[in-house]
Amino acid sequence: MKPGWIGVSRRRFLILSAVMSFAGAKPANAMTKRPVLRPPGAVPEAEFLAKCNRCQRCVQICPTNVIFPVKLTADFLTANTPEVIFNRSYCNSCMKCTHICPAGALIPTGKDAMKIGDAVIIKEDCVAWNWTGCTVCMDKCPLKAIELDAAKRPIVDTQKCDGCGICEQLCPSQSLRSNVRGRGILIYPAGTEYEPR
Amino acid sequence: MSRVKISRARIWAALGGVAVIITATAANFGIGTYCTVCPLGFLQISAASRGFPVNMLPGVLAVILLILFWGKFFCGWFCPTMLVKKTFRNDKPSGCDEHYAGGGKTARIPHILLGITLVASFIVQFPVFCLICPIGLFFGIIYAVFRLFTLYEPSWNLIIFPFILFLEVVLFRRWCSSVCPLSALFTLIRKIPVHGSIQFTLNKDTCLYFNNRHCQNCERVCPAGIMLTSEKNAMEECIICFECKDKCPADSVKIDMR
Repeated sequence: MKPGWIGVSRRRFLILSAVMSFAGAKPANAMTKRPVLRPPGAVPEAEFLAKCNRCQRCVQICPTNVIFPVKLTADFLTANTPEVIFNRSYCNSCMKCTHICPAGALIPTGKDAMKIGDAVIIKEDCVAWNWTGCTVCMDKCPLKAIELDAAKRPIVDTQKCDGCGICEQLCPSQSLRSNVRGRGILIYPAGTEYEPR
Repeated sequence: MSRVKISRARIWAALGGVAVIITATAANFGIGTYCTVCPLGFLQISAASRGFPVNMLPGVLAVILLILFWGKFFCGWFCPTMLVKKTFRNDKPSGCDEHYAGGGKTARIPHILLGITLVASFIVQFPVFCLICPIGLFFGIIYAVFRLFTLYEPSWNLIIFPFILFLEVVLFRRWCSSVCPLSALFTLIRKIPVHGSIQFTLNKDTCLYFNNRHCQNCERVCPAGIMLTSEKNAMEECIICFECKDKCPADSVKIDMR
């Protein structure tokens, strides 16, 4: 059979389109994965990848040990660049990492201008939304960025939130309930589209 | 009286460097890994981001100055690759890199790879070699262990990073001389002639080879494959490891600053 106008036979075209649709389906699936949270003062992601020399100075200097090198399995290209993980600690806005970065990937900003991300309440996993009674994140938020609605459920004011992660660190949902998939409040990079797990 | 074997201090220097970096991490003291002052990393991110990371300049310039005078001392004294090699394969120095010395066919490959690395970094806007750099992988393993003990979370890094490092350095025996673009960059910098740079030369009065005896020990033990006895030796490849000086039976290798 004569190949069509793009020089590809029908069989190869079908195989190619099947492969490409599979490849195209993967990013859509990956959207549910949490994007990498960069340390304070990070330049936009594409520029960050070009500038970061993976020297781990920010990882070393962080006094609350909240910065870690990205895992290889998260994304091969971002491996060993810094990310912020709030599982065991939070950001105390000391901004030391921005001052020590030699490569210009973290730009020093004032404490007030710091924005790691936005706290997002995962309603299926939040004790107060899914059940009742918990106000830990509102009590602990140093910026008073979390308020309670009429039903005493927490709501995040993204204007005030700087993503310090203290709410995520202290969220007790996993110890209070057995049927949740994770913490009830998570920090996402500001302005990213997310799907609540 | 046996002479002091300077080359044996190398493994302690490399271990000490790693220990300093681990201590800095544990004590939250931000000195960074060797990547902070890496001239290749500097060139790569300059190409990738189309700009100069000004804050990196002092460290990188200091390293370039050291290379001008002491050549590829980093390769011989501080590169963690050397630690990995010494741990996993007991290289009997047998001049295995003889293709390399005297401008053999493989001598140009690291320089070509250096060019490819920089062009690729410019095109994909990303420091390409940093992904597979054995030095970065080595410290990646250390940080994976840190992660295990601070987050209580193991990661695949603990298995994959050592695997890649093993492939590169242990299985591919000639990584340093036939691939490493960082080493190639050091060689290029060393080629700039400066007054007072370190050179190893032979004292022809006492050298056994020049007194018509079979020796050439210095050439057999040289990891960089430098032919000390020939007039045209590639001293810019020297990693200042002192093996030739330590293994010379007649103590005829001398250090020249010129």
